[in-house]
Amino acid sequence: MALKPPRRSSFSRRAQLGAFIGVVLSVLSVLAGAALLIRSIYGSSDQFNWARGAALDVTAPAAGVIRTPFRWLDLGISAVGDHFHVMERNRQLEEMLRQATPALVRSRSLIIENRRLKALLALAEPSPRLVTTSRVVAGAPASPLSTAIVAAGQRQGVAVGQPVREPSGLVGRVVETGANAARIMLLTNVDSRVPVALVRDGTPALVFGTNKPLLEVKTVITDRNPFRPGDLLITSGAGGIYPPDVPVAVVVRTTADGALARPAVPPERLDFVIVEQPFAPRIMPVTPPGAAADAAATDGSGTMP
Amino acid sequence: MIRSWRDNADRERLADMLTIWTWVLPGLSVLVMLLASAVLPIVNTLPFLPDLGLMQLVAWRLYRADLMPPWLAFPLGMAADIFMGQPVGVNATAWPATLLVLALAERRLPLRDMRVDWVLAGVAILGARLLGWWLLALCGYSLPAPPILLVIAATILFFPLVARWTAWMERKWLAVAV
Repeated sequence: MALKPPRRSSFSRRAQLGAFIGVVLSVLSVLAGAALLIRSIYGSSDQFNWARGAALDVTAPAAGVIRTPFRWLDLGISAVGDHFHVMERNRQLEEMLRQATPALVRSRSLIIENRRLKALLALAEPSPRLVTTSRVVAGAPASPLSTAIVAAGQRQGVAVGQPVREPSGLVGRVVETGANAARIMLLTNVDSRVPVALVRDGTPALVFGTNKPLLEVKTVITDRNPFRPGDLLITSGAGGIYPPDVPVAVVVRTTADGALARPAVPPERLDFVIVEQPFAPRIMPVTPPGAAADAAATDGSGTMP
Repeated sequence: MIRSWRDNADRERLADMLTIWTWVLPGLSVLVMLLASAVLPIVNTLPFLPDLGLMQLVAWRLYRADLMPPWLAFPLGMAADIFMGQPVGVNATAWPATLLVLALAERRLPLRDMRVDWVLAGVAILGARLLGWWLLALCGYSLPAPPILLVIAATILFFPLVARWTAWMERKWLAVAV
């Protein structure tokens, strides 16, 4: 079937005017988009935080409901898989336990020794503080920036900049908050940078997200490549956001100027995550006017509650 | 309206007023697609899901150009940026620009069949995503090419499905009984 011919200006002056206004509006809308973009690039703060928060609050509950049957399916499949591999798995675990027991005993004695030495030094350390525990309800598969949505927001105390982790490793950090939901930037996001240390020898390095499944690891050491496949990278605590000693990634292969590493927590397997306070107290250059009186009462180090 | 307001029964008046909602249906369907892709339970590093919002936008432009003027793509693009967690302005620029170019291209092809529509949509999707990629790079997010190309390929491949869905909506709710 032939489509109707495209709209073209007729003898009617009104139709001509309408078409003209449409073109003008369309060109103006492109320019308005460009203006918004320039504002996003050069603006000091994001002007759309309220809209982002509202969008998160709308999508998170729906995503939570939609996710439930998928989670059941996932659990069912893994239960069936476990059933068939139980013997083999048991043998592996027993072998691992046998190898790990001496190391565990040694590490226990080291913990005691460490505690004693720290007590001797009177070392003050900020301890990681839990904000909330929540479920990851959705990702952002349509977006080129890898993020995930958790079902906890400002009401639960979540704020932008807080680190997010799992018991087994680091997940990312909070970048947007709604009242009851928040968006977290995953380690694979191109904006993500995590200061890490090599467990084997403590070499400091930086883990970069590249929007691909593997993370990039770079270090300041230039004369040799310190990484070997299988190396575990843990957070070093530098920068003050991420708490130290959380597993971040495992090196899979070395490259010319660093290595590629697999995240310790695979992003497609995220379920429950822990939101924590930033590890070190944030140094505030300017005290907000409302809090000036409170800040005056305490000393300068009072920012860490 | 052919008959005067006064001649109509209450039911007909109501029906007349309700026809206004057809003006919001295209925008609403794009929003629903954005919402759908925001609530999908996949947390993946490799974004391979077709860009549902963009597909729906292009489909409306190709099948009911009168209901999807390029300026409408501006607020929809803003919504897309907010739902996807991107800097606001990336899609808000790329979408109206794409529809504007598509509007110019359409005039040269008054008679089209499905294949020509698919090619047109493919070029529009490719252009919109590449423009969005470039704008994101301007914002400081320089992304590697393979995932973006994968999304573009998936979006073009699945366009006919969304075209069918759009045609169904058009037939069901917008087609004027002759």
